[in-house]
Amino acid sequence: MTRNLKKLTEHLIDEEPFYLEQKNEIDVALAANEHKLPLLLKGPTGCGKTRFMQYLAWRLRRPLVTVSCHDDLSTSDLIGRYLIKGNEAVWVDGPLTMAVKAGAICYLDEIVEARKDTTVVIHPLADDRRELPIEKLGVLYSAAEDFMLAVSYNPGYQSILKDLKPSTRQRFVSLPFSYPDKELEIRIVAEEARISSDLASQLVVLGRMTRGLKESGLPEGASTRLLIQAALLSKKGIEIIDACRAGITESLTDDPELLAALDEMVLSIF
Amino acid sequence: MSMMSKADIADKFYSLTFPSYPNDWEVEEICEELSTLSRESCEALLSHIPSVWPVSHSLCFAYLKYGSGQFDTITLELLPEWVRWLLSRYEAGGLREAELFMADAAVHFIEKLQSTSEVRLEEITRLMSHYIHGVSGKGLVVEADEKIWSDTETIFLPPSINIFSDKTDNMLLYKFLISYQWSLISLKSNQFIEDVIEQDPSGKNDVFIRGYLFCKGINHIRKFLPGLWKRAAKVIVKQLKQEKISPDGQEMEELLQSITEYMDSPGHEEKHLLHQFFLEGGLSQKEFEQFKKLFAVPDTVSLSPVFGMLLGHFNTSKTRKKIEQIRTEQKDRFVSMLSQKIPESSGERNDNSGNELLSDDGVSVLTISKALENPDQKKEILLRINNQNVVLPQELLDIALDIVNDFGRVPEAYIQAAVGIAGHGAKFGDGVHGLQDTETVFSPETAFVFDEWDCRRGGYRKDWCTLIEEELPVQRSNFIEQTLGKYFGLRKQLQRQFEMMRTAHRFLGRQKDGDELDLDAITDAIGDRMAGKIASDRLFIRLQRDERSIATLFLVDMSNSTSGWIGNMIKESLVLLSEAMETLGDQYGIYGFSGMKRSRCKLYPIKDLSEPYTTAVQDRIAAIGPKDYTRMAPPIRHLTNLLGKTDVKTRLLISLSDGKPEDYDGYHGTYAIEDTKKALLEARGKGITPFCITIDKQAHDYLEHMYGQGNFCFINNIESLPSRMPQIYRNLTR
Repeated sequence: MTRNLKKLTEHLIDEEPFYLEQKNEIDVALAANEHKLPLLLKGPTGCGKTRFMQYLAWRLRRPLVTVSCHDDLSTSDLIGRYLIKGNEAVWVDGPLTMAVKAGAICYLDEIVEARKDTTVVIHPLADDRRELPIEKLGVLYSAAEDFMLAVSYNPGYQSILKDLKPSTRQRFVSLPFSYPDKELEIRIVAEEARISSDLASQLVVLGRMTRGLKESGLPEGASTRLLIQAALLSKKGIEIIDACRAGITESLTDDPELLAALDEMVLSIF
Repeated sequence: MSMMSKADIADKFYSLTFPSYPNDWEVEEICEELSTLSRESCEALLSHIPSVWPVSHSLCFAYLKYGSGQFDTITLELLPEWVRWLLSRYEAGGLREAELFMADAAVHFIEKLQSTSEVRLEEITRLMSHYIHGVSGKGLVVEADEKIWSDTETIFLPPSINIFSDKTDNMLLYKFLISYQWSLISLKSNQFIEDVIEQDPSGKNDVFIRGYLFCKGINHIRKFLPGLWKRAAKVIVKQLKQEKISPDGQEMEELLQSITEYMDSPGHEEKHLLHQFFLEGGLSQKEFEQFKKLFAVPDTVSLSPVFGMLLGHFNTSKTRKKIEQIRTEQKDRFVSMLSQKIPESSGERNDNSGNELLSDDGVSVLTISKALENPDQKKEILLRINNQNVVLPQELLDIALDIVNDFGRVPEAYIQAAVGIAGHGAKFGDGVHGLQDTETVFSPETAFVFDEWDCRRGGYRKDWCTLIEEELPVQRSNFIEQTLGKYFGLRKQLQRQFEMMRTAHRFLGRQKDGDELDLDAITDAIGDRMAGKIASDRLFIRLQRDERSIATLFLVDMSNSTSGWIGNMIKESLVLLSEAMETLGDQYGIYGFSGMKRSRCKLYPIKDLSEPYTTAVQDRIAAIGPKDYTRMAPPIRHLTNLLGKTDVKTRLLISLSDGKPEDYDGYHGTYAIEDTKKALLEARGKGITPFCITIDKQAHDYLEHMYGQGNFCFINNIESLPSRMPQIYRNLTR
């Protein structure tokens, strides 16, 4: 237990993460926290979901345990497993169990990537029971007072096999995220990359242009994260056009036609 | 040098043109010519027959004749380009034009190709469409026309530009022209022109309108596309100097500056006084003359090429028509969506005043715009019903915002219309047409009867449509072989991709045998053994390959609009898709649909779910051809029932169409869209996932409304369909 706590304190966020509120998500999240309701963050990639969780964890002064979900993530990866030490089998808590016991925030990033049977283990945690049964140990943990569950997913994926089950999604308070408004996004890019707001505004205009290409076959437009990435490259002395190519356009697509069109956009702004 | 014999060439020719029967003597003549070439050259020439023959038989013979005669000039590498050129000549000017072109490959092709700095619009249409789509954020279309103008939805540009000696400069000019037309659209230049003309129709302002809009347009580009301005200004200003309309340094700049300032300063809303400003506004007579000469209307004075291109052309009446059309569509959608939000019993009167638009029934739409000046500033729109704020769905909000951007507010008539429909059930906006026919529905043996959703009364019309299954008349053709040959590379690639997704992988723990040790099981076993229990021998992990449990039906639009090129690409896509699906092993079926009127909706089975992919299926794919209209809902309802009978985990209904649903008996517009939407919702309700692929020149707003966000994909480049369609399926079921 104490070892777990020690481990978890490493996940405490000491410095205030840079976060600008998009709408009212902070208030909603704090209100949900008051009533111990779990959070569902949805939105396109790179629009600030993870950063928001960091900010919330800082605000609530709780450790943040992030699990990036993937195809092979199994229930034991979340809950814990027996490991053999010498001639002894020792139980080691998984990230979810750790957070449940110590009262941390457990954030399951990209939850739809995990297999459906995996996500079912969070069901009893996500309603008013707030319990985590561990069959292998034969115990039923009640979540600590401060425990909070948050999951995120990107509804933009057009795969019918990768959707959240209604039984899962209906347990959450949903916070929709999208790309921030123009003015806000300029501030975010400028402050995060520490560049002039003129350059930031040009990058944001480029970002918004790429988002307009969604119907022309670009799966997703440039995220705020990509814009910041390009800004950081250019700050280190990379020519801004090259920074945009390396940091934005090439990361968006491999299609030569779309790349050429994106390049024309870059050239029309810088 | 290895050659082909005449007999071989003839055989090859007949097989490529099967099932047509070309004149034997013509074939003989061609074979004679071809037999003088090397085997490689001969095969190269023959390989283009499938693309030329269907266009015109005479063209094909001419192509082979001129091609073999001048093969040394054309060369093997440039042959595909030569064929592309000759086909476009044929499309532009028929056989004569194409023959003129082909007659001298050295002059008309090679020389032009080497020396050409010319940029043709068709080369860059796709690139520029993507570009302007991104820049404008809406689906602007680029098309060729003699004059440069736009109707706010389409930008018309000259078919080719060859002004600069450098190709990249010509390309840059194209880009600049497109961007400039976009800036005029976003500045609502058409509204400005109409206002001025309305106030003073004498025409003496025309020159000043052009001058003013030119300043505004250029400033817009400077502000929003500084990179483009930086690159283009150098090239363009140099050219303008050569054309002797050098905006001589400061002078012109200042002149333009003072016009914009004057026009944009408050208190100068009376735009018809434009010319007075120039007379009284402190311009010297010389400056005034210079200005007039510069911005002269093209019909009176011929302008220098680049400057003339920049100024472009205004076609106010056509643009007005387009705007009206867009507004009507917008209104219809707004009204029908808003009416669904208003409860029928909203009878109380509302006495609010101010910025609100009030209707008799106490419904108001409130527009709060924080700053009208800045178009990027978010406007908030509130719907109030009986003094209560109602949350608008995002889609309705977007339309409302468009309307506010257009008119500055939501016109009261729109709200009245919505209230009318909501309150009285049947009263509908003028864009929604009723169905007048009273035909009785008959039911042959292979017919299925379906209800139809009537959005005007918010209910179903019972047993309204009859769907008749009909067999496609099959003709033997070499379409399949041609397609398989044409896409050899793509097929291999698809096969690999589909093989990879054939099974879902899953690790099974606690198995008696397997590839890896199961650490959990071993731990348990050790624990058990230490505790004195009998340890389990299930200590392995095995990789389990699960069968995919997916059934998919493809519904293909066979309406009249799919004739020619589009239809062919759809067929080719189906062949490739079927080939790929065979590799994958998912259950799938293909159905075509068309029909005329509600009593004769036709469904053409091409392959049902359990049927193997045989030559009979291939023949039916080849037999797909354009029929009548697009009443999409009955076939969707029918296929929904078919899918409902399967016992798989995932049921997918993928439709492929090329535009709005429409039928002969007044089934169009909002009514048709709503019915289709309803049919798709019904499918969803029965556990089926519908997905729609739409082929069109541009994406329309109604698509998202009809199909729902994320449930459709839009393809504007039909040539990419054969590769996109399997890709879409892969993404959907990955």
